[in-house]
Amino acid sequence: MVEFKNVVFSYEDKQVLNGFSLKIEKGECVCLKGESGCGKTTALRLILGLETPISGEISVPKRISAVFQEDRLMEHLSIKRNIMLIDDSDPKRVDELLKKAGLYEVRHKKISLLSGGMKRRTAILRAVVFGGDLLVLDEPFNGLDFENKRIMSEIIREEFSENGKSVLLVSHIKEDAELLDAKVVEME
Amino acid sequence: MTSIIKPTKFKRICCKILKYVAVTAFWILIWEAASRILSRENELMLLLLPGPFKVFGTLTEMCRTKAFFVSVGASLLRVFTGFLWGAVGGFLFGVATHLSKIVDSLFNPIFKIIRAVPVVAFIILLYLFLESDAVPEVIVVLMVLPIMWQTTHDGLNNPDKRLSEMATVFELGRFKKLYYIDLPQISPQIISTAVTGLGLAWKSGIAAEVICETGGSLGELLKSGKETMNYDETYAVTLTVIILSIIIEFFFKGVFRFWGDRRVKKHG
Repeated sequence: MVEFKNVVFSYEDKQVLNGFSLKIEKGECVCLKGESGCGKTTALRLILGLETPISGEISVPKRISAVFQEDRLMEHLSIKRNIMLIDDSDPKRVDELLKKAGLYEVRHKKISLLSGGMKRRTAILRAVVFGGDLLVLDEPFNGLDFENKRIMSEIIREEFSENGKSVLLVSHIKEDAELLDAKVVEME
Repeated sequence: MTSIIKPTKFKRICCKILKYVAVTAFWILIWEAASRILSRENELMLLLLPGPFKVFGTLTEMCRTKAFFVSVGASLLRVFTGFLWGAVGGFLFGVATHLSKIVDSLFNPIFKIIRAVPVVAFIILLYLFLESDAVPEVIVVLMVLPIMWQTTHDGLNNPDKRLSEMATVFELGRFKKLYYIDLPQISPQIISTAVTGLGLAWKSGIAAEVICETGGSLGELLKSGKETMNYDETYAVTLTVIILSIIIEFFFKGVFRFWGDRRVKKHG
């Protein structure tokens, strides 16, 4: 499903990945752990096609969804509008997800007026609505309290893991991997 | 619905108005003093540099005539029409040169040349081909179009990298990205360019009217004051141009702010 074979990548003269290999099966949830700067986010960027490896092979599914380390939301639009910008999004399903995430009451509020936690939940919901065969999550629960982490991880599991879709998580926090039942892979 | 102005806000507005009045009064006094001192040494100076009260008096007299308002209206219409064509055209060309490399290659040098050519050269050249009525409007278009194009083009070609990556990942189409990400991002620069362009349009439009002797215009009034040696008239028309320029800038800033708020409300 997702496979890295001896991938080498560097930013100018700084080598980030040197012969990196990883395999994620269909429906599997994997958490990449490691020290800062070890190349976790770079691996996600390679999966998303935002970077090109110097050498090695990467095979990924066609449609990949993502939660970036930053929210990357359109500040001048509302929560719902940010999510509904994605093509083919079903309004009823979006409303259901907003209710589950506790954002339904504030769905028409502009992003710039929201708290950090609400923005984070919106970014996660956008990725869930986009769907795809693989979801990559870069520190997705930053700024969320435990209850919201639990709710959001439940939504992710229902929409992805339990539907035979793969999830790749990058997080420093052990608890995040546990919430998503993820297999932990240590990066050197 | 009545709006209540809080005392602190009210005080701030009063202070601001007082400041403007004091500054204006100071410069009017300097003007009056300069006129009196110079005319004491040479009487001709009273003609060349009339005092502010004489100029205000002339302006009041002019305001009593219908022809003055017809000239003001005609100049405003010319400048506005040219500004709108230039601003909208510059914006559309900016989008087009961003979207198509061929269009960019074709028009990029043209706009750069237009920007580099002095406005007086353009006025003289256009006067060879166009009626004196049409020159000011075309000049305004030529002044506003390249600056609006440059702002739009540069802004769209330097997008927010993070949001652009998001748009790629979530497969937002080119036009959706343009409309929801790129244009809102550059709208403050576009508004600021429009305000600058308006000032430029006003100045270049009046200059074209003076050079081309456009009939029934503020430019014509400016020139006729000089030719008939009624310099107080020239000063009065200049004052009119300044006052109108301030009013237009104030009005357009309000319109742009209102438009920006509506856009946010509509999509938000």
